[in-house]
Amino acid sequence: MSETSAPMAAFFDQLGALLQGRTSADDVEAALGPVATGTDALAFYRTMVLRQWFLIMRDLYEPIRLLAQRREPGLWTRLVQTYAAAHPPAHFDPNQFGEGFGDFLARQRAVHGTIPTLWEELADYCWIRHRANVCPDDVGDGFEQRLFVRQYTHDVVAVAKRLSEDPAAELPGAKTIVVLVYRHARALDVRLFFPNAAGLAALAVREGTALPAAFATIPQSDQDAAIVSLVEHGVLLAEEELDR
Amino acid sequence: MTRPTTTTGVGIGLRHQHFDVIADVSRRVDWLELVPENFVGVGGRARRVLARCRERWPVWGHGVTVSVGGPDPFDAEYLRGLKALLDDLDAPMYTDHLCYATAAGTYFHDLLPLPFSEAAVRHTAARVRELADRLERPVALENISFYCEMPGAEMTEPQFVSAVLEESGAGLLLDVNNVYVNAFNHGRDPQQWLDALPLERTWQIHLAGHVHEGGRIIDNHGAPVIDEVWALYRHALTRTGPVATLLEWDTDIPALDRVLDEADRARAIYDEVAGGEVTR
Repeated sequence: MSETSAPMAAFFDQLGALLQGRTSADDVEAALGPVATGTDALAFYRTMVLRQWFLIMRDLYEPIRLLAQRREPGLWTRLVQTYAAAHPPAHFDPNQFGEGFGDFLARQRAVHGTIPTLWEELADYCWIRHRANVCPDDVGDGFEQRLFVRQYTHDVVAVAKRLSEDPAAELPGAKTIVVLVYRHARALDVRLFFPNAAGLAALAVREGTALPAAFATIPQSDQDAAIVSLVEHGVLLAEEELDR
Repeated sequence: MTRPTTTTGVGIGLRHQHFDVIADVSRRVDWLELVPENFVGVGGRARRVLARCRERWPVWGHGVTVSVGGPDPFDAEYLRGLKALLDDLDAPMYTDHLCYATAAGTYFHDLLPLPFSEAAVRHTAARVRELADRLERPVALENISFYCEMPGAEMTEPQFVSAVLEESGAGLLLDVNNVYVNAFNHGRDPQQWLDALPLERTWQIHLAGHVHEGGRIIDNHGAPVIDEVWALYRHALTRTGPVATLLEWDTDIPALDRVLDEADRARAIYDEVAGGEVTR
């Protein structure tokens, strides 16, 4: 591969800093020379890049954007800009930019104590819906790829639905839910399933994880029935599909 | 280099908003374009729809993040996935943008202009040759919309495009809307600007809508094509002959029928000016 020449290396250093908001258009002109089309036009590229990043985050995390707007004008903008400064996009898939947003919100809550737990749970819910949708084929049952088992302290499913219908809607209080977010094994759309205890036990066995003590007394016949149901609902692959 | 494909006619983009209907659409579509970044490493419904579309139409990839003119080494893992996708599509070429999109590991997810300089020509042409080698197929580059002439410019944009294509052996993906946007934003005559591009190297043409914002036009692919761009397209076809044309609509994407209405309008001009013969 050819080496980047000194003038090009200087160009990319300066423009990279501008596009990430680490320097100003005036400083870029001072370093590289004047811009015939004007300083504002050069600075506009920082705006363009931010627009793209905000679009990505909005598409992924619209419920959180709505909650942030409800809480305080400008909060969503500050959150995304802070997140972007710490986690600039580093992947060809634009949506990967959002991968760490849930953890970021959790850290914000730990440090500032102002971000509700609901927001990071919503972020996880939004993210795993996306992940399930785009997961590669041929991953078998695809735990944590096509199929996600989650326990939330808020009914994020109801919250996301209400916000999509009415951004000003009153939200339900805290309520623990256990939900499967998955891409249907055959229909290929992203769906939800609320498993019973036998279903969770069957999933643990299927994934090869240790069965929680509370599930030890669930009869095998109930677990077998749960497996049949999970396959019928497209949560798990049928044996013949796993063998392919 | 001669055009590496015989596919002609008017195509549209394969977008997830149309996944429910595109594979079975009865209206005329000559070919499809996809954004490889939305398909590499992705399974599920996107792959299923793509497989069905591939049975009906040629499908070509038009990339946005390879950063053809950028400073970072190409993402080897992505290029492997991209090549596999293009192989699956039996794509005779790969198209991307004459721009950079990454720097120091950051993906800006925007198409960023290079300085119109000799150094940028040499830098970019070498990378285009490397890209073509690694993808094992010819590359065509799109003239992008630019809102600012970057510091260090030594030539005009058409001269820069010509020099990169000449030195790299790449084809021109002529984006007619971008010509109009650039001419408007920089106070030039669109037809003169278009005529200054190396039209003899045109392997594909793109059409799209744009939006006015303040004193600028922004190339957002989110509106119908305006009359001035249709006229410019007509003129371009008289210069290029029958070249496959893509009708782009990527923002505020409407129902498929609305996109196809716009594609039909392009096809009427295409048929009238370029003879109407379509090959796949």
